Amino acid sequence: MSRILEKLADQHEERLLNVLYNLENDVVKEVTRASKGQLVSQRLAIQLQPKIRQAIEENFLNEADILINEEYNKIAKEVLDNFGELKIPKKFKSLTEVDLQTINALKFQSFSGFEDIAERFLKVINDEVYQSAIAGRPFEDMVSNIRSHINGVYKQSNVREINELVDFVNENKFDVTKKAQVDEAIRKLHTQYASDRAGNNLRRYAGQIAHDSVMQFHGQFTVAKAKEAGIDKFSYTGTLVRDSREFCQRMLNRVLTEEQIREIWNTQGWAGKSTGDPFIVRGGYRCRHTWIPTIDETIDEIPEQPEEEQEEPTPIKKGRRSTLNNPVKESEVDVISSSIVADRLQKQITKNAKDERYPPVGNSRFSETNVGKVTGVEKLEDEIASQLNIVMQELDELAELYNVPKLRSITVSAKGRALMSMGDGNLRINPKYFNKKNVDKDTERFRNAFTGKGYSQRETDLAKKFKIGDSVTKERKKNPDTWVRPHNAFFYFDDEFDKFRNVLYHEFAHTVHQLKNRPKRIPLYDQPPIEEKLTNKVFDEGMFFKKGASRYSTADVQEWFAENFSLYHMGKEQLVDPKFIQFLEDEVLK
Amino acid sequence: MREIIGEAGDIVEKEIITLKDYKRFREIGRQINDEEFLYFASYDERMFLRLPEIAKKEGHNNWLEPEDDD
Repeated sequence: MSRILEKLADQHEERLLNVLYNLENDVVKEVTRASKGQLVSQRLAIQLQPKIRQAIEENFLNEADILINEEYNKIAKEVLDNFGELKIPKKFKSLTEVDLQTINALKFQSFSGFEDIAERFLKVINDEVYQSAIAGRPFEDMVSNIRSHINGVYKQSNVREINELVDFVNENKFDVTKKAQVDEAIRKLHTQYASDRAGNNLRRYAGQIAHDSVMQFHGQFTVAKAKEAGIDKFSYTGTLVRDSREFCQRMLNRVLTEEQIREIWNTQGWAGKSTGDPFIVRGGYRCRHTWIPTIDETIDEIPEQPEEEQEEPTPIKKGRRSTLNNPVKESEVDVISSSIVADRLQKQITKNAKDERYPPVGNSRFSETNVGKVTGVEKLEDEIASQLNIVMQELDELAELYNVPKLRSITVSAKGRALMSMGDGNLRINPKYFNKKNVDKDTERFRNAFTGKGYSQRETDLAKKFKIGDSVTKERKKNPDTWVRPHNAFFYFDDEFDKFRNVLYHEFAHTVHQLKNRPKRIPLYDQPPIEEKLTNKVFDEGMFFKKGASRYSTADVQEWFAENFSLYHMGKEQLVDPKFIQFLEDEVLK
Repeated sequence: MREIIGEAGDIVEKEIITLKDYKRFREIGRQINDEEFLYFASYDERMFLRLPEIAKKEGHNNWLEPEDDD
């Protein structure tokens, strides 16, 4: 791109990022003023919403408006200057009435991009305040989270070194001679001060849209003018930087027809390619190149895509539906606010609780206090709540597969020590095992138990070695030296999301043995059919359930069922007791 | 590994479980150390599933300790 365009894109990004500090201060000031630095009540959280909107409008959107209305004319001039150099009739080199209409329409379109982001983060901040009110989150934590939602690791802090690093990054971000030092400062901010923070903050999107908006406006106006002048050849223009995409490197300075450019767009893929029109989105987000019209006689061949390019990993798609056959991976989780997850799950649970296969109230062996309710999901961090939301899709599929009702309540509570428990479709989750932030001495014990670290490291190590068929007869519960299997099936999974999923599948297995084929009315404490069959198998065939892949699977036949079930449905058939598969086929799925 | 965590494991695996077993289990739960945390977490899940057996014998569940009380 031209130096002018490059400078404009960088300037706009810098101006918008600077405004975010005012926004951060204004929002925090407003919340502090209203709450007097105390816990926020739910009522106050709602009353604050218009004030937060006002802060976003006065800072972020106001600056975007100024940039677009005052600065985008310079981009249009840059396009016309380029046309001025071409040997084409004069009438195509000046600004026409139609051009002005196009420019205004494009400005309006650009502003709506900023508005979309503003709306999205308004919701995120409102959710943060409301969620804090519900969960009783300390004021300081809420403020810290709000700052993170706006500026991420670049938020203002009480720690002097953080502020110094942030200042250094902000002052030198666009200075190529200091790129190495800036990269190091960013790395330090991430690794030493905020290693657990996701990059989904307003600053990230604001910087990107400020940059891309300039480029896209230029691209759209250029194409419109080129078509008007009947030009159909374009040269891919700009400079290469260290991390330029392979596509951009391959295309640079090539002259191609519009037809060729569209063919490339439709037939080739590359890392970082985004959706849209090739003249507008070019190489992808933050691309620094443009297609400039040319009347050059020479037309290049379409450059072939290198072999290895085709092997680039598919860009991660977030937000897709998770299925048993293709479950969403940790990297694909679209992290949304836990309060949004709570709302979604509540709708689902309300519907599920009406399933007529559930025993009438008063006919369950387990507590029915929470039936139809989703309680405490806000106590889960957004990441974990989002994971729960995803696995619920898989549990629904399992419910259909086994013809049992879908879950009818979710309670997130730190009471008790179990990671989770399940009774007749009522799921309870202890957040202390799964939340990753603000881990103190007390919660570290919970975290280690789940992640297989600290005292539980032994379990992780055993999981790496054990195979079905290894002798387990010498294992003694109280003698760790005799153990050959990990205590739980979830230790067979490396990433935390899969561990979490495995515990949920385990709990769902209890729903299967509790509710599959259960008549609506049976004497209150009688065993349901599958449990009866499991018990009979034990008495008929001896202690056959002692050979699962985890020590917990030997606790009793229901845990044997649940542990094997969780491995079986998560692609670890090689660790499943063959007798479980036989039982499943003969007694459960028949 | 201490005796008491083994005892907690034995309790939840008992063929017949009683209110006395439950009370003892909860007592143990208040004494476990960091090393035993994981095992008690699993036993606690097991105990939850066995509460109906005790309720059946007792005829009610007024005996639930705070850890299990909704």
